[in-house]
Amino acid sequence: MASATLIEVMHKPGITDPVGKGLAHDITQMGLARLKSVASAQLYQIHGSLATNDKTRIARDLLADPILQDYRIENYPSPLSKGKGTCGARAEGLVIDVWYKPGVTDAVGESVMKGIRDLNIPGVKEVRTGMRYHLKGVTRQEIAEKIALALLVNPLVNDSVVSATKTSADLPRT
Amino acid sequence: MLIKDTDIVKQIQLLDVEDTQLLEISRLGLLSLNLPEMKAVQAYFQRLGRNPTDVELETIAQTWSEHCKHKTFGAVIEYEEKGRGSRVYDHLLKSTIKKATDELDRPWCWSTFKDNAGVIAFDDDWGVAFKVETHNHPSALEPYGGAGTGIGGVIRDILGVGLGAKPVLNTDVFAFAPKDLPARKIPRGVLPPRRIIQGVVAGVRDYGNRMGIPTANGAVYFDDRFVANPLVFCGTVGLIPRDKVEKEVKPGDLVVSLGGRTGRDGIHGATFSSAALEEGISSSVVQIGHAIMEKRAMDVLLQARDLGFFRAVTDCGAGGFSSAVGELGSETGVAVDLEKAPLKYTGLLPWEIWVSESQERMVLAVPPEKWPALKALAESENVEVTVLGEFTSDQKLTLRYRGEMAGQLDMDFLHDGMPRVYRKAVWSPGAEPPIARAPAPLRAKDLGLRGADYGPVLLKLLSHPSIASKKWIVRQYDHEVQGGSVVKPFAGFDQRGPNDACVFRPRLDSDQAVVVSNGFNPSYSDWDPYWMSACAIDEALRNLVAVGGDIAHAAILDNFCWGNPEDPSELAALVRACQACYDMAKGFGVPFISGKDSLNNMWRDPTGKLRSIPRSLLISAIGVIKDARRTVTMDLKAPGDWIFILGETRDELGGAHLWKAVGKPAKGHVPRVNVSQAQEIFTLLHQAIVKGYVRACHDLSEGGLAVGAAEMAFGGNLGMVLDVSRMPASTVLSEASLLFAETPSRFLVEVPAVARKHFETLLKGYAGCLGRVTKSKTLILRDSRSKRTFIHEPVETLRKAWETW
Repeated sequence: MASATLIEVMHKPGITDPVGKGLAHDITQMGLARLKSVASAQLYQIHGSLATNDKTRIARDLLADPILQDYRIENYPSPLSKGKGTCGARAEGLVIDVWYKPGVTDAVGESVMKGIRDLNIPGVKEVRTGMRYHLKGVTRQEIAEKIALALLVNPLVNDSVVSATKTSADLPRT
Repeated sequence: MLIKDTDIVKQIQLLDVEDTQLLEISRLGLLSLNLPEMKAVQAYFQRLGRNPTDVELETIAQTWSEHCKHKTFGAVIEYEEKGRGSRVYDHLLKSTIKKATDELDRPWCWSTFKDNAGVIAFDDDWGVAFKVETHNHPSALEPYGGAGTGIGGVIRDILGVGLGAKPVLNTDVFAFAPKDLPARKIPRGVLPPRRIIQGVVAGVRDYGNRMGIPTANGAVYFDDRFVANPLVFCGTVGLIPRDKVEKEVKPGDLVVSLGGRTGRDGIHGATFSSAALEEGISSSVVQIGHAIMEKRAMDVLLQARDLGFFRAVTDCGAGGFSSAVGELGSETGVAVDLEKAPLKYTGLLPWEIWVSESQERMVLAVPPEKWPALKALAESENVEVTVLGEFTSDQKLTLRYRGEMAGQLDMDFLHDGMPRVYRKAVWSPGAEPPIARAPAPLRAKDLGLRGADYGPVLLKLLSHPSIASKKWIVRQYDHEVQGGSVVKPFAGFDQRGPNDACVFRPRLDSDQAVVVSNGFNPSYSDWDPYWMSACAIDEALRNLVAVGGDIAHAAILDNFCWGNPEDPSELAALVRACQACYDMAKGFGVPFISGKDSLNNMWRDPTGKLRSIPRSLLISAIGVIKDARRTVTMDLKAPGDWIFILGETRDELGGAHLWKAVGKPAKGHVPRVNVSQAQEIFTLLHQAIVKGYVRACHDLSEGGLAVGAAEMAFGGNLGMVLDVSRMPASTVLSEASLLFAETPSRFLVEVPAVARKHFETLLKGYAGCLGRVTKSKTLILRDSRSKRTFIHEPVETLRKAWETW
């Protein structure tokens, strides 16, 4: 797909992340890895050509809760989600992105499409939604893949990408 | 118009082919039609003098599928008990379950076994509709989507009953393998139980919560044999005006689809659900629900109902348009232009459009003069409506695609042309496990205990996943939306006690309430499916009565999940369970109003052997309570109150949870229902509750007296001292039976001192006064004759054990 935008919506620092906490609990209980914590985020691929201003409006006015959540906008596919393996000393943990396979109904994506239309923003052809899990303290690719398969991915309907994260200083928050 | 053979609509050559080729056509097309059925199809088209099209064959396969036609329940079954004789059931459903309904003939049953749900009277002007369905195979493959579409589907059943009911409650019962099941017991390609549990709960949660329907009743049951084939029962209750219970299609009405678009998702779901689960299933059977779409469709539908915009409605479930349109037009005839259906994407073949099971779609019969107003209403709510065709008076199903004829079938062939199914069922009484005949243990040492201290066993029972707190699940559901809840999932001190059933007021301007409960205990079917079925009915009604329900104004639903119905002993087990349904329904005077079956619940274990799930029957009960203020919860209320047990206790530990908790092979007799006694106890207890004699009431089921008493104690954060030697019993009972037997039809009741005499007089012959509620927060169960104390545990210890799961 030609041009797409990735919007990531995550909890603000200090706000409880129940999905991340639940996953960290399950990983520890199943003895899959030793980790510091898990941070979860919602991902939205917006396909179609959008003005920068409109991307910000979608993220700020539609997708993120301004009290509890931050967001980040980048191009998709981004260098982040392409990367494989660890990033050496810079890595503080791996990231797993989980998406629905093409063709599987994405109900949330359809609702976001409608929300974008209601904001009077034209040019969006499709929205796909996913989840990002930042496993702080997990640096080995095979362990992250094992966690994905055990707890996050159903190969029948999901695709997943494990990638290295940048340190939080590199990730601009808006 | 001639039917042509094209790339888009293919003709299938079957006029002159041999039997083997007929079966090959069925197999290659995934039609799941057997030889007699294929031969009936061949004979029909020989009479017409032409070959069928793919659209026609798909229509017949869908209409005649086990899922839609309930072949087994409609079959002629010759049932034989080895050495005891035989009996023929001509139409299993009509000669057992439905027969009880017909014979009871309750005037407040407004619609039974003919629509998408059963309807009973709530008051003079309103009825309540109730339907429970399963969504097992989809939930095994994709738990989140499978469970979500399960609840979405049953909500549409309620929207599609009569002219549409407003959903007011969801209920969910699940059966899973335990989440700590070792990996070696999980077959390849199967999701681990933890994933299935979390996915199913999340799917039900998201769909119900997003639609604004409270989920306030349910149960979760665990057994290793559900590992690759979990059970997901989803139920919905709806409120419907009395004058909207009947539907009628008139020739000339438009066929209108409302809601979601049609895609390739879920093609062959109806035929898939009739087959065993094996590795390598295609992802085209996976469906993901869209709750917001269904909510919008519901908003349009209920407004259009009250404005009189349509004459009939039904939902698109298994079989898609083929099933929905075919059913609505079965009396009149119907013609459909398949290209008019709004599609999610291009490239669908006509037969795919016709049988696709895309979610969130309803079909309406709309008088032409109402169409413009319906269209305007739907557009104002952002819901797509489309005219697909019209109802006719020719008794034919006519399918066109871009002006060309794609198929034409006679309605009477389609709906009545399927050959009757004849099956043999053989029950060998000796096939009961030998453990069923072995005597129950008498002493603590048989359970691996020292002395007479059964405390550790009770703690294990309380933390067994089937008994332990389901708070982490229940609290994810919105059980308060719509504002009508009366008896909620939890009660008592800090909301710690688990209530037996839920009570809610569907109309906030009325004090009348609806009670919903369930009964489910598949482990008894390893002994005898007859008593499993009887106990499930007793449990559902027991729960209903325990909170204030009245069996004189209550109805039940059946949901069977079984193995292979072509296996004579498996079928015999099913027949026994159905016979128990008839006997119990008649005995209690409680009619069945609706039901569903899911057969072929089988899977391959890691060694490659084909296994069945435990034979399971969920009974869901619904009743009307005249005064919502006359209901009770299960938590202890006041120190000094008397504690009574109602009902006789017997040495019935067969299939009891005790064995699962102590990890020993099960022994003892399976619990049996004495239905005439049970009927009287339930009726008298209801009178006692209405008269205000009862402060708290809890049914005794999994784990028996000990577990029931513990739950009441930590529910109220109070103690009890009970003397088990005063339990009504006709024989001398073992210690284990006194504490843990799962004899049905029993309750533990808290009665204030002032009402003790009245209560004892009313329940004479059925009640035993065991002791009192105490201020000290300790549960003591002792035997005054032997001077032994069996259980002496702080209430806090009991609660912690219960909340560990």
